[in-house]
Amino acid sequence: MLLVGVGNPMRGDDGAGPEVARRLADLHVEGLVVATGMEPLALLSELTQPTAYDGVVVVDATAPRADPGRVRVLRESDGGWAVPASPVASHALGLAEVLELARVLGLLPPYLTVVGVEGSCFDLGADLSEPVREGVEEAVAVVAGIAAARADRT
Amino acid sequence: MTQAPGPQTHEITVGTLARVEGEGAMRVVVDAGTVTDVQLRIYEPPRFFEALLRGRAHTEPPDITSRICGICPVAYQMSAALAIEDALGVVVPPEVRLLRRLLYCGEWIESHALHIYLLHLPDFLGYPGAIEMSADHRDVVQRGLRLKRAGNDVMSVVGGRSVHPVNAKVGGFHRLPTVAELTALRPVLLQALEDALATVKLVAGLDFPDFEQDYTYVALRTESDYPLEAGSFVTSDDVRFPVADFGEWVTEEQVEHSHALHARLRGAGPFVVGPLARYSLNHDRLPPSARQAADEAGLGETCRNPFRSIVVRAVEIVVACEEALRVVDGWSDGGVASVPVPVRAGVGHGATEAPRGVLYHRYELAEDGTVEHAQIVPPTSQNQAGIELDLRRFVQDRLHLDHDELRRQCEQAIRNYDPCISCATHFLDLTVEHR
Repeated sequence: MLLVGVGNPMRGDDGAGPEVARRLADLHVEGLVVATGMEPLALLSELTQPTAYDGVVVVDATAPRADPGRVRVLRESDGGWAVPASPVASHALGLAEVLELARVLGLLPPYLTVVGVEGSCFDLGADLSEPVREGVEEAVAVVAGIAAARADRT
Repeated sequence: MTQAPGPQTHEITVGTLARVEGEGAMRVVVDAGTVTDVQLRIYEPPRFFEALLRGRAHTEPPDITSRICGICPVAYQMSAALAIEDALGVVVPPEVRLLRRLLYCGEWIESHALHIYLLHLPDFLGYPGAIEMSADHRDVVQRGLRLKRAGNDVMSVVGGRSVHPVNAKVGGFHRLPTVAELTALRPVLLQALEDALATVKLVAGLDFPDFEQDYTYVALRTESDYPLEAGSFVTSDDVRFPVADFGEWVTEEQVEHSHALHARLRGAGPFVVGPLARYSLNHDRLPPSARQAADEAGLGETCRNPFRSIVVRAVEIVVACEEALRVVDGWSDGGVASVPVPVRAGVGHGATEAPRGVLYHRYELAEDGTVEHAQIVPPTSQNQAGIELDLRRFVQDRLHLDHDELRRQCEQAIRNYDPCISCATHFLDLTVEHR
């Protein structure tokens, strides 16, 4: 299974995804290949690799909604994620757009889950906020749990 | 898009322009059937990189300025390194120059592939975006992603990572790759070359508006090669000047409607940099496969239709693949990764060909190497006035179109320049107005 931590570590809580990836890489979780990317297109690059993954977990910071650090687990089967009708940027596609593009291209593996860690501060140069640090701990446990459950199944 | 009613004047406002890097706005004023004003408005706050660089060590500009853009970080690293080396009288060995060229090839491949396949092609094929296009053209988009990945692979092997590479520095590289490491790129680059040639064929068959402009082109030119990481300036009026004279030929001016400075060429006014300029001023420098592909695509020796820039970009991917293979095949172990960089006071200039056009840096260094003054002139800022000239004529000829179609075509015309507004200040949004 592939884990991709998306985000910019130089922009405060946006670094939650890479931090979760870094922690999981250190844990050497069986069956888990860890990658990080500054932006979601990196995920597409990973999915176009010849190596076939049977599952993908993406960890990304989510927009502030008054509950910083909260971890949300989103499954496509639960309704997935809305693709913005009018993308704001171009050279940096959003995660929902990249996942939809991957789906249309037939690149998505059978198992796909997005783990979001709600951020509060995305200032340039800022560290992870305290609530997000705690959220990162929880997200690491969530992903490790998913990997273990899938390893048991196989 | 909204329209304010009026007997002879009306105003159209279009929201954020999608599929260009950053945010800004395009405002076109049409008065009683005549286009009277066109403004490319950039309203993202300036990022003050030039001020940020003051007081930093001479070793820092390549890494700091690479953070200006996630799509063309190598361009910033290369122009910064050349400028600092110029100030300090440093000459790098041939293997460093070759490796810089290879790293730059990787950036051209990934940047051009991204723009062609995910940003510009949907315009030509009539889709709102890459996702919708992918449903009908899965293999085509897959090819684009494969190309982009090939570019990223080159950057990872040579630069240490695919975005914001870390291996380049003033004086050379921290480490040279081995023959084995570069040879491993060969199959990737051969596939990329095949994909690039297929890309030229694909885009050459698109429908292009009959629209040519009498541009003044500015690009770098070298003694023998298609320009990427080196060269001196040449214009379509056959004016030639060294990189150090850039400031004497190109002036920047503040305009009210934009945070980015507008550039003017002495004796010519607005000018255009980028693929069309590079190609038209360096057609005789194309490597063999690229020249053949350009000929078969019907490009000719010069190209003045900005909509055909998508074809020129495809040809430039062929150039980058060929050049990358040339460097990989000629590489040998045991080279010198970097040369000493003795510190002294001085002024230095550097210019390289970023995917979107010439990127110029100038630094003034103190005795201890501290940066006292920095100037960065990115390509999109140089092209802004040219884009406005395009839009002015383009809209004038298309006033009969309904507003949605006019807006769509204007957006496509702006994307001809692959504008990286983030590099010009950072964040773009389009506004078109009719009065």
